[in-house]
Amino acid sequence: MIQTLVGIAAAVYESRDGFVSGSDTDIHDLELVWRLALHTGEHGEPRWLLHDSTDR
Amino acid sequence: MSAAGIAGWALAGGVLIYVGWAVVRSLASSERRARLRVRAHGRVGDAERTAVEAALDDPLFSPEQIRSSVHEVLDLAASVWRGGEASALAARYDAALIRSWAHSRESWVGKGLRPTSKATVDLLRVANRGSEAEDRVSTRVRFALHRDPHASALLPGDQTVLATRTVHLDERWTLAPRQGRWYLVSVAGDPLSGPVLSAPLIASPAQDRERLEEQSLQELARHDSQSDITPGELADMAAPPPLELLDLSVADDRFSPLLIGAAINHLVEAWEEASDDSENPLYQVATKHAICALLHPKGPAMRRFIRDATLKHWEVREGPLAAPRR
Repeated sequence: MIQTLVGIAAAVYESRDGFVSGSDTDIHDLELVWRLALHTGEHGEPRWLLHDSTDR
Repeated sequence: MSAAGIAGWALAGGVLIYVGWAVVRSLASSERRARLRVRAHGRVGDAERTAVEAALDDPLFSPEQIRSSVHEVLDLAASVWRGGEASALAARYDAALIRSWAHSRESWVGKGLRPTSKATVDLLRVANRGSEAEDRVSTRVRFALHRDPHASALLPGDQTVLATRTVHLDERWTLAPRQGRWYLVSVAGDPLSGPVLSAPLIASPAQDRERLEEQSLQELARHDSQSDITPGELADMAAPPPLELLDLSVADDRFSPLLIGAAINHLVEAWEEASDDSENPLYQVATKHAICALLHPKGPAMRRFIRDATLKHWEVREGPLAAPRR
């Protein structure tokens, strides 16, 4: 397991009814702490999977 | 000068500064939009060519098919505005989204809506990744709607002869395929946003550079996953986490920062796709618990959506050799 700090720029919306509409151009920075764990895929390939995410 | 005079000058100065700031901001925004319009012009040509090429692999990607699907959605929305919802709407995957979009435009633009001409549909983004869950096209849809100002009374002057009767809309609609047809999955987002204008145009899975790079890195590291060496034998446990990872990656490619970076990029993309439509791609790269944390960070009642996401940076804060957390 590794813990990473990930910075993402994105337009972020929060909705209760699941419907998002409009042309919002505001891009925000999200800082997230992601915990990734090493797994093995179907063909034996290594895959880093996200196990947990928290807002910083 | 009296205190009231000083206060008056200070207020006037403040107003002038505010007006000046607003003018500069507006000019900067107009210039930015003008630059994006020029960029979009070139992008539309590239996306059109990519769609034609993608149609050789999957005919669904033909520009005519995509445009026809957008026009079909607009016709169905018009049936909602007329109050006689088309029977074809109920059977569609995107029925709820089309209805919600149509009603939201009524509450925003006004009642008595009807398109006054055929919509102009420009392609902005084409992704033929070879699976229904990840194939996407984003389009810029521009059209004019007639509105009834007397039924609406939403805009200034609606009850006068000067009332606005025609409204022009410029939107980004994203479509995804299901069982050989395109369906609407998102009506949100600026059609001229930087990320959509710079997103990779993917005519076929063989041109999906990001996924191919990730697969190559996985392939390179596959042999190391069969190694009997444990990570503790490879690195200095006292080193800072980024150095610890680099140390490990020298002997074991599974810990390569390139592979981890590719996985994080893939996660960001799948997270954005889950905002639009399917969560299936996210299940390929995240656990159920993690998906819940991404989509509902403030509890199950509120859902978070992200759009136009770009990974700005990432760093390791805790390496694989750190003591497990309790």
